[in-house]
Amino acid sequence: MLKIFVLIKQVPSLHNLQIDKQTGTLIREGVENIINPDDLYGLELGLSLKEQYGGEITAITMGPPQAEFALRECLSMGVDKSLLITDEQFAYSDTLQTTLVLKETFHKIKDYDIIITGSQTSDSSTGQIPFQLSEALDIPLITDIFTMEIENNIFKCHRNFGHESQNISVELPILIRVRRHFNEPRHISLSGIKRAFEKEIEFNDFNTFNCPEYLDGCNKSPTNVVKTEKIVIKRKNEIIEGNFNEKVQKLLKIMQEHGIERIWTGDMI
Amino acid sequence: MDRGYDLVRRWKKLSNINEYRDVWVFTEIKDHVEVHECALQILGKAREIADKLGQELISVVLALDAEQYLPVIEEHGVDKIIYLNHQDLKHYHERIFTDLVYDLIEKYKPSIFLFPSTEAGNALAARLAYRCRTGLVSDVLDLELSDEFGNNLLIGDKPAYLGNIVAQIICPNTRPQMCTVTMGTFQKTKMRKENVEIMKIDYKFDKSKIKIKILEAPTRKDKPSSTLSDAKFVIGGGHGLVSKENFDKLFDLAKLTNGQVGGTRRPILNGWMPEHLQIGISGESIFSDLYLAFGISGAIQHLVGITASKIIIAINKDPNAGIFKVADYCVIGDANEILEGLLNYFRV
Amino acid sequence: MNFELTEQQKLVRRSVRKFAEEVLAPVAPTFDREAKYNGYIVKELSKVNLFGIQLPEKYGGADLDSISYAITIEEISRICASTGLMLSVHNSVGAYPIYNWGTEEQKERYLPDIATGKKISGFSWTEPNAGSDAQGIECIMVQKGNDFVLNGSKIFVTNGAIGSVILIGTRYKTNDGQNGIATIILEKDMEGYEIGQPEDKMGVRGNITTSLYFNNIRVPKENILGSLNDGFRIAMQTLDVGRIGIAAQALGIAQAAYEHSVEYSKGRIQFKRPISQFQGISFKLAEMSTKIDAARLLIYRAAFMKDTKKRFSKESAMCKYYASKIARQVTQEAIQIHGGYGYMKDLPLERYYRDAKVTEIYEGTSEIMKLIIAQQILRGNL
Repeated sequence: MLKIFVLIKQVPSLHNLQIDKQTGTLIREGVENIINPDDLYGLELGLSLKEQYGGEITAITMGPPQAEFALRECLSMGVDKSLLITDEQFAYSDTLQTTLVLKETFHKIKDYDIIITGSQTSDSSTGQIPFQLSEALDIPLITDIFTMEIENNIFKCHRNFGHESQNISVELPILIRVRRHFNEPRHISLSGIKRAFEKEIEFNDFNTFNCPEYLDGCNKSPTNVVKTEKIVIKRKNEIIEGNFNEKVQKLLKIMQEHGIERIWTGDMI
Repeated sequence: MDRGYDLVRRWKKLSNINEYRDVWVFTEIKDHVEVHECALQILGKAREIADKLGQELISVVLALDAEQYLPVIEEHGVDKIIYLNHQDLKHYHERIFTDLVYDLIEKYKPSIFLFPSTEAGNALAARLAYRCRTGLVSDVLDLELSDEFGNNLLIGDKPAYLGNIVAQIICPNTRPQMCTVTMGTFQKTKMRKENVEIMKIDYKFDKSKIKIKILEAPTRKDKPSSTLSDAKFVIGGGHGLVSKENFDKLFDLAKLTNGQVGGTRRPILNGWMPEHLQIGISGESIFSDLYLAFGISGAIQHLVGITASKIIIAINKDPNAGIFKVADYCVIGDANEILEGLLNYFRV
Repeated sequence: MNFELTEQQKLVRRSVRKFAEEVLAPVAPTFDREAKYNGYIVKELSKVNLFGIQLPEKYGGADLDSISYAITIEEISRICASTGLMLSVHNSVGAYPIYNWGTEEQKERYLPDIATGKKISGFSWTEPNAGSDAQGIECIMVQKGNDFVLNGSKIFVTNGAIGSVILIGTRYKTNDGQNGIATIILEKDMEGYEIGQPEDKMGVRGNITTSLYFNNIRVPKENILGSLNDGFRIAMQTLDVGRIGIAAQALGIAQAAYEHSVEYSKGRIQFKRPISQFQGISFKLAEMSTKIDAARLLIYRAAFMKDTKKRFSKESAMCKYYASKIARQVTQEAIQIHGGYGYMKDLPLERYYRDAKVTEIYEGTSEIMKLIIAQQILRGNL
């Protein structure tokens, strides 16, 4: 039976984003927490693989206790099980730290075939986890897939790699990173919601892993954030006045100044 | 598989931190044709950093026929080039590159290691950072050395929340200090050091470690992963264009000017353009020299994706449209008429 | 007492909102403009189970509580009031009475298709000569053998064009001379069932309202809902439920107009400052917000009372009366805040205004709501 795992993260919604100009941090009050948009493509891939090949799909997230809601959303979409890794000691984990916790998690799970991630999170936007987890678990990472099939524990796919287009095969387990718009993530169905709230969510904390002093978030993460600032963009806001022809002429002039000119296309439009 | 413990000792309290020195730059070769422009730009900044530290700037090259690229690299201020030359290094390969470069780090202990933020650069840097149990700051906007948090620590400015916040990040206890840098962040500078040292490393790799099998001869990729993010000139459209017929004119203009069409969420919902052309949250960010926004009202979801464009021109009939606040040039008027006016010029 | 939604209800709101914004928002203006309803939307609505919101899982429903139902109708109507109307009628006065009064045989026959939207349902009482005077209906079915033969017509039938299971009220006459009012289940493909031309309406134009004509339709006994003479009571109790949905629809429209107004007044600069900083405008926003909140609380209370099996005729009439009234007021003020822009069809404000008005009319006018409330008060239900 195919064991599929999808890694997701709860992030603040960036609609109506507001930033404290003094501290340069996000104003969290009144901000909704949502599933990281890129992860929805991962969930959709996991669900469709399950529909096609059977098996079991689990959503995993690491975050504060309220990330439970994100897992309920995953369950509503049709995920079978969910795991929340949460502990104050994991707060402020950077990517390396997160990778190490995930590594412990999968060592504990032992039996996994496909682990799926999105491209990057909308809050920290590092995009490092898929690569680092591939190193940590010593399993191949496949990115930029177009088509795929699974047969007898062998994963075959068509992918872009560098500037090549390749047909590859690889033995499971593997990691897949899904790119944006790879698929169309399904909407939550109302009938999924009630079922989602009847399910148990599994919790892991620091003690679950029976380990390692190194799994201790803020003190042990190699990177430290020392300061944050709001990026202020200054624009000219120059209004182009004049009648229609004058406006068009001025626009053309600005375009030319920036190197935009007619190119020879070989045919007339 | 290692359980992490053994290695952890090393990154938690790096006792030999002073043995790490020099600034390395992964000098990527693009499409086995030329030195990646971004790598050359990074060399410019890395030269400054190396000078301040009084250490060497070292370029790392892995390629097929690597020798042909060395003269160009020598023109960009390096003290030393470490290179490997082999048929297997024609393209970036996750196993081969990671293993080989990791061996170099183990052996020569660089203090700072910078990578171009490309498909290969990001992947390689993330994998190496894991192996070294060190920190990696991606897509830095700026780099500086500071004594504020420790002796000559590298501070990387990293954008977060889709470029709305910049976070300053340090990596105090582990080495190397690693960063990736996007194209256009730094300026390349032409300068030649005397007696550039060239060091060739012998290629040795056990191919049985490779798990991915390539089934047939690969072809040159036909489907671009994204063109919006590399485009120099982007033409955007929104709901204000009213119809598909009008929206199609953006593609005409793009064709005539070598531009790239993108847009907000609405045109996708209206069926005017495919989903991969979305700019903003859940779409692409653009880094163009010029962005022309037709009939776009300027919801924050869109704006976060365009802030990195050097010049923004907005055309909208609503003088209160939010897009005007972030535009360099504002044209208050019917987007369709202005678009037609521009097309008339370019069509001639 | 707790004014917080449960986590489950919060997820209902978030999911329906996302669905409505992504799927309905692009088509809502077209539905209104062209007064047409595109069939593919039914398929999309079905995918997320919007046709069986409160039906039990065994019939394919989502089995949610009544507050979740109100939230769903509100969120759909916030984007597209026509779709909100279709779903409100289908779920509350189409599906609910069959589930509540139907025999097991009737439930099994109709509910699975109703829950998936394969069959869209409706409820029709109004006739040319019977509106607020609900007892004045003239449709008549006369017993012939074991069956009845139905003649008459209905007007202003919501879901009239796309509905295939419609509940109607009719007078009846049996062989042994009994007569009274029955509620019966009609199916579109019954012989003698005729759908009239679409009405040209002021608002909710995406929902195609028609007349229905019944010419000698043979109605088997199996199509009678509840007992024969129970029709009027079933109808009145059904409408108590339906009014929560209409109130939620009105609330959704008001919410949309209010959100637009806040955003616009913050961005619109006059006399060198945003108009929201003028007291005249800010007071309007404050009033809108207060009214919307009050309506929402009335709706949730009525829904809560339904779920806890209390009598809720008065509360349901109150929430419908109040929510529809404030929806009309809020949408009107929203246009005023937008000035000339609000009057143009480029913005959806004028659509909200047109859509809101009918909520004061259908499923009982505001005047009838006040009558119901007053009757309850004077009966001692203070």
